[in-house]
Amino acid sequence: MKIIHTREHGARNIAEFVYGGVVLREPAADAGDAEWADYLFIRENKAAPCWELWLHSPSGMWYAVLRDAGSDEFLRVVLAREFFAGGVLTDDDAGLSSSSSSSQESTPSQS
Amino acid sequence: MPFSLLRLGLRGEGAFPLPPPLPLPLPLPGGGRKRRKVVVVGGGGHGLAAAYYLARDHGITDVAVLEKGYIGGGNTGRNTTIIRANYLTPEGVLFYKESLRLFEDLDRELGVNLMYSRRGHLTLAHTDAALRTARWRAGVNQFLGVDSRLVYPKEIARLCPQLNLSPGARYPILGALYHPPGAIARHDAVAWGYAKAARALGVEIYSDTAVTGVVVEGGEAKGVRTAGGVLEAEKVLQATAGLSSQTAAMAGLRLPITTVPLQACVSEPLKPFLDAIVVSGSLHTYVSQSARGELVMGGSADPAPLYSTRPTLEFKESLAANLLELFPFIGGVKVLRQWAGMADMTPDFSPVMGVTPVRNYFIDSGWGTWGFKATPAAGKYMAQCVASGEQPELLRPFALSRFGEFNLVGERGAASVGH
Repeated sequence: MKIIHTREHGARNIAEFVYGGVVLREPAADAGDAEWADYLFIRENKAAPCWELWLHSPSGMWYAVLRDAGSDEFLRVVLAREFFAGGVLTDDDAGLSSSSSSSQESTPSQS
Repeated sequence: MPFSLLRLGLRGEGAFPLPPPLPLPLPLPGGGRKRRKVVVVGGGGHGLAAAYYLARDHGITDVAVLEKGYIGGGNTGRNTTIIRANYLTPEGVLFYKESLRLFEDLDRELGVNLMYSRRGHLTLAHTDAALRTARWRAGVNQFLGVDSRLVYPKEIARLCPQLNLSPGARYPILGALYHPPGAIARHDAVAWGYAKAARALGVEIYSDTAVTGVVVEGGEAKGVRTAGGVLEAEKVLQATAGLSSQTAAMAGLRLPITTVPLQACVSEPLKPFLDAIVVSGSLHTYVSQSARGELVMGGSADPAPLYSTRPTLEFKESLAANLLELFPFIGGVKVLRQWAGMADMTPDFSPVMGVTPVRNYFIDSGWGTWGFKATPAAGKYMAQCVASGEQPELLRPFALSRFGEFNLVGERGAASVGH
């Protein structure tokens, strides 16, 4: 059993969470086909930390999670609305992403 | 042990002759030639099959297969060995039908006993929706000449009397898609067989030889990098299921692939009691009994991407709960081994095969949960693709370019995935 720590609910079983995909920046509505195809289908898919969305199903709260797809470690777990408001990101996060030879997908500032 | 068996064992020539020892490591760049016509990255079933058909069908024997670990040690040896052609899309059905055809005669052709065993394949339907899909699949299958039909509980009881067909079950079985040619085979032997046959035709196979880079100049693949130096090649084929994105990234390609673990396990050996291969999409379960008597069991793929082959308790809990719905009497049976493979899932549950934007760089990828049964056809037609440089007709629907054209092949007949 894997335990996920959240500020709001404490330590919870991973069975309470539903994976909701990687964090991507949606193209502008008038973007071309290539950009939309890229957004819809192409994934960086690296064995590295990457920001993802996870739903805590019992509370209905969405989380932004920095998870390492190589080690399955949950490195950061923050409420999605705070993540998208940009309030919780620090320079450390940016450093973590850039030093991990990572992709656009796992760079918080890109989301 | 009978004395004759001991003697046979000591002589080292059994019913399963292993390929001769492989030269390690790759003699590059000092002693060996620095250039091959074709380099195949990945020595699993698909890569070795492609090498074999390049030599057999196209006379291209100047081929080196480079394998990071040992041959057949990746997903070739981690699947649940099911072979079938009863998919849903016409594109998929035609492709897997060809693969099934090649499989049926393969042990004779390769001279290795693949323990190919035709069992009959039952895809159970527990809901009206599943029954409707089964009817749809049967229609597509029959139209394309694949033996497949809808059966109801009375006939299911005859085909697989071990199943819990009680109408009082939590998910009662309403019917099933029955596919008589459905089969299982020994998966490692498929890789060994292709390796043996390819070597006999002059193909070189190097295990313990990781490819660390792809040389691309002017949009054209020129070779691969290894610890022993650069190996130049006219053409490069990648067949690295589980690591497709990472291999393709070395050639500057980005793929529509997400890698997730797919877990499986086997029970302790039991006396033969289960002839059919039983699959339930609603219960996320598939099971067959191997020639060794082990129940080979699989479930749904893990929910989130991960580069790992670790199994989890959650998987076994849900698998056991669902299996006991179908076979309540196996409650006391112990799990003997467990493992996971890394499955390269695509958005449309179909493979990504053929030419790429990099000239002379070819991919055989996106094999999610449907790769083993495709081994012969993937090898044969990827060999044609590499030899001609053009996408073969049978592989046209599976080209990488389909995603940019929004022309996907929604394969809802794939196993282990939610649709």
